[in-house]
Amino acid sequence: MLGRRGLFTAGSAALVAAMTPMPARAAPAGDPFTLGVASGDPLPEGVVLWTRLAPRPFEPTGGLPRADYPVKWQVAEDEKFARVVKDGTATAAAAYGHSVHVDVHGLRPGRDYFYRFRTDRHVSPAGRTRTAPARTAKPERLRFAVASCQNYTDGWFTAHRHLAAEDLDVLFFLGDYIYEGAVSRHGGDRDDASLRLPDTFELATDTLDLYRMRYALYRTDPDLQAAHAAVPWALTWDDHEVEDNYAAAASRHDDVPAADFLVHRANAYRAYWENQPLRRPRQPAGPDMPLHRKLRFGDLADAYVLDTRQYRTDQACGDGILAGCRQREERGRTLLGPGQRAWLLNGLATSEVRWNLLAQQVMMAECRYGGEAGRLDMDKWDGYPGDRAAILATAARVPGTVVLTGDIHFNYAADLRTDFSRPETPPVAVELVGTSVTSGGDGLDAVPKLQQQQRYSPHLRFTNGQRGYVRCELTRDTLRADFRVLPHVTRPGAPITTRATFVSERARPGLVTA
Amino acid sequence: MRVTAALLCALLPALPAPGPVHLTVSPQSLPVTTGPCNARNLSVRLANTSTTPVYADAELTAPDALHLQRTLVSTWLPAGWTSAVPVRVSAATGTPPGDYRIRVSSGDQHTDVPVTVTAPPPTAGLTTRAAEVTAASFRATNPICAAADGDPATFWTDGTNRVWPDWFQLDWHTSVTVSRAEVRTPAEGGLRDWDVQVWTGAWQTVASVRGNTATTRTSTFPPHQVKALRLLTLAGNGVGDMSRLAEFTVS
Repeated sequence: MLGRRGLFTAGSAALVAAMTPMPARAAPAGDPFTLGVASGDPLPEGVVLWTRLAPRPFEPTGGLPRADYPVKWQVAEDEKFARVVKDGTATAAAAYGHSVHVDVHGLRPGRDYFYRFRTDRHVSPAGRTRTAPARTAKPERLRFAVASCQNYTDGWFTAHRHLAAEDLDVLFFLGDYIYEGAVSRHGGDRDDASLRLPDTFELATDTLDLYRMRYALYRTDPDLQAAHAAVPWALTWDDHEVEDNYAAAASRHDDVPAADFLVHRANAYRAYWENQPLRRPRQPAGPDMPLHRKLRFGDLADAYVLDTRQYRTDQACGDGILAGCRQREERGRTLLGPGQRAWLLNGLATSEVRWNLLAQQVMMAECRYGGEAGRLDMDKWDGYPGDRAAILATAARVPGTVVLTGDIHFNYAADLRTDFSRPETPPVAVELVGTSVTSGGDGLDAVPKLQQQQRYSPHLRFTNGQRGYVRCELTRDTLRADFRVLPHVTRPGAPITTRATFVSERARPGLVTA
Repeated sequence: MRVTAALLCALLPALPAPGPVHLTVSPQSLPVTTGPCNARNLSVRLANTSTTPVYADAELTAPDALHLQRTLVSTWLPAGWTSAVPVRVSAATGTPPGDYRIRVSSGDQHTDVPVTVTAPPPTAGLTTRAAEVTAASFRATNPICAAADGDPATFWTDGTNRVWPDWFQLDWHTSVTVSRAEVRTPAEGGLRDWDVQVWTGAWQTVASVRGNTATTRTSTFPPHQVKALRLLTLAGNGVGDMSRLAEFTVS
């Protein structure tokens, strides 16, 4: 075992050169591991490991020339890397923004592992990850968290520092990992005088180089790095990874032709794949990227990681929060697209597990905004009631459906019914809408707008407007959710507290305070 | 003969095929006046002349006297597709006037663009002659210089809805005499309330406007010799409740 470690530490230039068909290149000057490490999409036998070389992360191409670099990796059973069980050499290719994706196989199910990378004399920080339970296992519990929406300019990623300290099997990140708008020299409301960003960051991201730089900026954050290094993530995107409120090939700007927007989308999707721990089959082909997938956790849970942006019909009635929009109910309108919808409905209907988690972006519960009676948000499932009805009709037959949501920068606990206008009927599923990591700034516990929504929508059992995340524990028969909140994000170092706890029974869904 | 030719073709190393990406840059030369908001754009065009999609790059290099907002353009290009990307070129106040050169390269192609740098003429307005133009915050779609570029169709907005006050500031390297500040603001959601302030060791208000609904509003005040002047914006006329400033002209 020590021998393996020795090989790693000593390095073997000849071996590396033989394994790497690219032109040999001098090692990068300076520590190239400024963006941390990550793991993701745990399977019983393996995980994806990620890093990206960028000795000068705020420069285009991270301060590296157009050359490929060999990067060695190790997976060990212990934090000190005394018991290395897998290792190898990957390539940080210039064509992929010097990102590294290692699809590790041959690990044992339901186990903690530690991993790290090395290039030349530089060794990355170590990450901890955990494989999924065996497919045939009958786990007693699954611990996970739900996080989303981390606009860098709105504050500090303190929530991630706290997430890193939680004991989790997996973290579901439900989109808006980056924001496409301008970042000022001192990082907006962070007002971080040490940041001194170049004015390239004042440009809205639309080309591949700008998206790569934006991911590099976010990934330099030490709290975000800590959360990635602590637990495997299962990620999906929402809109800001491309552009606010886009729908499939439609930009939010009506004057942008679809063909132009698809070039923009291709650049955004490429950078997303490069910068997240995703397997090679998820790689985009031009503007198309198959992101939806299922992760299994023994017989306890399947997690359907959904994509509600890429295939959706354009928002009804011109988007917005509207009353009386009949177009939303038109046949053929879809949030998931026909392929993803059929895959999901079939998966749910033939479920072999206790719980089905739908890790997705936008709020599924009907949410009436008040004011003009019956106003609904056309960007959410309320704008696509056909797809929602199909899922909830299936959930009514298959117990254990839990919808996990991001997007909206508020906490909600919601009961889901096949007919939201009949509060006397039993819920068929529950939804946990997790607040943002930073987006929206410091926030408030009690938000009048949300309280008004609760009056118009009695199935919304809880609302809160602070920043944070949702921590969950699934056992054989019960879901427990802790809404974890922060008092502020525009200053670093906020403590975290549990604002509310809800439980729901698999056999009798419905959120009640614990 | 045919056999020989075939043999030759098989034996000769393949000649480097011309790349599928064609680079062009316009304009072919660029006059730039010094000052942060007197920048000009180069348009970098990458054309995919092949029948398969490619990822293409263009790199830009310039002497230190010139500032390029970006030095790389990378994009996916569908078959037959051309992307045109603007690159902002500026020269700081005090940059020696003269001729410079920007090189744009993609693969084995490159184009040189001559840049002629001049100082603003003495007749130019004080906004044009400002050495620094800064603001409380901004948006990518409405940057700071949009209110100092002489084009009333573009405007600056701050980056925070419903948060007041905001500010928009001009700094000069040497003292200038100011006695007049003209605010141009959009008809929809324009500025309502603001103060004009000069720096005299502290910010001193020299003019105040309240309840404005006009698109152009001029304040005059006793002459002051200063190196900095700012607009402190206090309220807008609805529409997202933010600062919108189309042009700020000081004399």
